[in-house]
Amino acid sequence: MRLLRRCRVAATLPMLAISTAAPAQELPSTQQSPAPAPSIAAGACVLHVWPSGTAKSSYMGWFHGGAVDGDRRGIKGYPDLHSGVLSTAVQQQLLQSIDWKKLAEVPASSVIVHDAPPEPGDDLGRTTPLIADRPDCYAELIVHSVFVERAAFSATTVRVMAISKSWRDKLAAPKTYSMMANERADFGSGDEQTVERSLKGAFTGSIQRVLDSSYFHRR
Amino acid sequence: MKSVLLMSAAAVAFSSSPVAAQDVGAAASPAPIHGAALADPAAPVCEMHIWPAARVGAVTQGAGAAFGLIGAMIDAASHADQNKRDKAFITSALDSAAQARALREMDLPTTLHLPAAKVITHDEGVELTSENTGRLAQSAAPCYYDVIVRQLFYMKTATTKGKMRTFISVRGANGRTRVIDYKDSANHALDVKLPKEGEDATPASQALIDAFKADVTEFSAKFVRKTANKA
Repeated sequence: MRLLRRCRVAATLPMLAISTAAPAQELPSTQQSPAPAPSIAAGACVLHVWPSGTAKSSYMGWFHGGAVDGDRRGIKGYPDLHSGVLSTAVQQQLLQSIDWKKLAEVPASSVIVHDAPPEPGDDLGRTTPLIADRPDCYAELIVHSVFVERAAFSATTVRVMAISKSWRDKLAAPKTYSMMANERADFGSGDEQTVERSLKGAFTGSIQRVLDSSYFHRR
Repeated sequence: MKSVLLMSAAAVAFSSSPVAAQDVGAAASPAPIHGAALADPAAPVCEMHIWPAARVGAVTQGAGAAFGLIGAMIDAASHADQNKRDKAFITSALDSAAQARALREMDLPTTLHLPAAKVITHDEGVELTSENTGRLAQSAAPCYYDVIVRQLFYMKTATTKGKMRTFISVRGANGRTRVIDYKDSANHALDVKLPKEGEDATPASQALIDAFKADVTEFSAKFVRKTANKA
């Protein structure tokens, strides 16, 4: 089991009277039950959100390109894309400011935004939740990676890769979905404040696009 | 963030940025001070340092690329957003942790027919230049290997399926003497298209990992053929 990091309740939404767990079945007293039936969760849905590590930069120009984080590694020909602005701490703050209830049809009574990314692991293949003590109705949204990217003939954008996993009862396998979204970042005059504001806005915009995807509106 | 997970009793004393270390082969034992036991599989005195890709590229070309310089320019402009998206997707799906997981599952020392080794995976790639000819990690192990994933490159043309090519170098040293310096690449076609924004990226992520493993397996077979009796 991975180590759990400190977390913070970002928003406490009104308790929703949703019972999505499989109903518990009463078995005859003579019948042996192989496992206890999942208990009914009365509106106890929770969404855990994790930020990623510091954003990476990706650049593909006419004469240079291909190196990951080329600007931060000091490779000649790579313009500064200021990806360090989108640190884990900044992502966490921005994720906390999102109106989750409005943007996603999340049946969650609470949304918990963690301070740090989870330990590296196979999040796509994983069937066990990151939080052991959880209600039946439980979901995870992991911001897997964030890029500040630019290419010849293409604008500067912030791209977010996210993995969503949801469990509707304790015994079932999770539904897993991964997706990406990007949003344009306009550095304008290039001064520090404009760049920072632009990158933060593009990050939030990308998350909103992720939540706008059909996956979050058909569950 | 660097974290160390030692799966053996022996500590990795001299690695620069290890993420995970793994004993491959027999039980760990303190490294001898000379290389006489290199051929003894019961005593893994070797270290293998694995470096993830520091470069990722993605190029999709349409039919316009066949129409001279102007055609190529127009084609490059029309695929610029797609190439940017594919490059970021590959970088994310095959990040250093995913590469390390895939290579750990493959038991690289055995696959490369090299002596049993303590495998140390690094979380940041390195640029190989003509200047860094020595060991990439600070290590005093008498038997030492660097396995460097130099680049991941995705290419799709108007007439071919998308292919993932992996460029790898293996360098080995016995004491201060370099005994192996081998570079090559391998590629495999992807059965799925890389996703657009908003699409489910899970199948493509798995396909990339599978292609990466297939590339490493093919590279290893070439390596074994070309470097027999050198390790």
